[in-house]
Amino acid sequence: MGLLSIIRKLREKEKEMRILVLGLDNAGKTTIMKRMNGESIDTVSPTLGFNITTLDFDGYKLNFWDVGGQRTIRPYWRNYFEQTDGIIWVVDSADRERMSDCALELSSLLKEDRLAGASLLVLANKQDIAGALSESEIQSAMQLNQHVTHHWAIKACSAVTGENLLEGLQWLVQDIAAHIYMFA
Amino acid sequence: MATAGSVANAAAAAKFWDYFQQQKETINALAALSKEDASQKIRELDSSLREAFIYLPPYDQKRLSKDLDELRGQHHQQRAASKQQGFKFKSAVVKPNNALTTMSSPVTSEQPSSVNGDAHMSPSSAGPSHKYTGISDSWIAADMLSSLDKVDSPGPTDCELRDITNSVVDLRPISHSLRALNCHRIQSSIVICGPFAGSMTVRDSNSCVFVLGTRQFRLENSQGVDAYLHCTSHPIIEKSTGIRFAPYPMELRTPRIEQEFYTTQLSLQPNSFDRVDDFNWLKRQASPNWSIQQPTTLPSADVWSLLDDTSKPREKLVQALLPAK
Repeated sequence: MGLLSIIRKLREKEKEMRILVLGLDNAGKTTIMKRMNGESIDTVSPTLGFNITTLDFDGYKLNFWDVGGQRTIRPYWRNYFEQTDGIIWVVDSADRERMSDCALELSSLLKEDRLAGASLLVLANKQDIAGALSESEIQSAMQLNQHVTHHWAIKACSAVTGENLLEGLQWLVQDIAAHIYMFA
Repeated sequence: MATAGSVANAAAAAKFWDYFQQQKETINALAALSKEDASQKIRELDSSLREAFIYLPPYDQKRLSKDLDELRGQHHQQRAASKQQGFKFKSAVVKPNNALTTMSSPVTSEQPSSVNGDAHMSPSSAGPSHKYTGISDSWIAADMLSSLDKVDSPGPTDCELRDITNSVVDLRPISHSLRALNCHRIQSSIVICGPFAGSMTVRDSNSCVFVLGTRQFRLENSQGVDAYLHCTSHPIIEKSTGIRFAPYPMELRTPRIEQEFYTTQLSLQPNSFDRVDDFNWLKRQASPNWSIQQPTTLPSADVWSLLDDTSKPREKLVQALLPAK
């Protein structure tokens, strides 16, 4: 038995999850990741490329792939689809003008074969802004009720205050764990 | 011992190969009868494959993983197809007790139309806290009182500017409460704003001037824009040309604005106005789409003072400040 295969086996035993963080530009993806990681959010630049964040949570090792959402680099999202266990779709709840854009991107994402079986957490971010749309308004704008292909949940949150981020993550991890580690 | 081990491995690998092929046939046969049983079998096969990785040679690992993926793909497609059929039958029953779905059902589910979206949003949401749209040839000075009924809410707000031509928009009175400023289709206009702890987005605009302090600055699909920034992160441009950057003008940093720089904590971070990322220029060489304004081309103190001139000399200011075409 080679050393490499032993290492691989050990890695299988370690409960890892791969989570893709996507959404339009200016949704607050990187800010949410920084907030969850306890870093400063004052100097978050628009993401050119991607960031990886690893968190230990509930006995699982979570690998977050936070990919930039600017229009020019959205075609590269598909390079990150492989072996994704969960998707976090971040919505700027105050950006009414691009809500239909956002719904369109989400629905084309969910048609992707390689993401079949991944759990979907929608974060209705920027609830700290007075004019932000509510959780139920985002839910109908994203037409979540019509998505039957993925397990999904929505949480109204704010990366600035940290409200509801943990609750959302909790749901996602439990949902993934329920269908991935059922034989473990 | 090594030889004995590898022989044992080879035997186990051959055995597993047979087992895998046999399971594959079973699953294919099952797929026609019971989808649930088939997907259960696929999951079982997946975990036994993972266990077998420990003795399988690399080629087998790769090959069998690929086979399993294909199997899963086929199965998933079949499932999706059968689900769609099933859904049609069900929807007739479900419809009556789900008012929201019924309301939106005339519109095809594929294309989320904005009309449909607005219909859902209109009842409870008043829109952005400050909104200025469809303005031309005017001098707008924002103030807290004129902005809807949000006066009593001291919390963070957002502001939207849309379709503004040949105008001056002064947002300094409200800027400290902002968390977001979104500008869309601004033409030959000047937008002045104080510092705020949030993000600024400009889309589809040309020959404009923006003066502001912010955490993030995004510019998309615009031409001939001058930005005077205090920005605590890298400003970015996308599909834009002829963009010039300069620091927030000293002449406009009155004690009040200075105080706001302090309360929004923007002044605690260095100004990164010159560290621009161009999303359409990933080469090492400098992007031709943007530049830093030379000190010699910066507007003089006289020009900036026109902003606070009570006679509101709009045309004079626009002429002096807008980038030459």
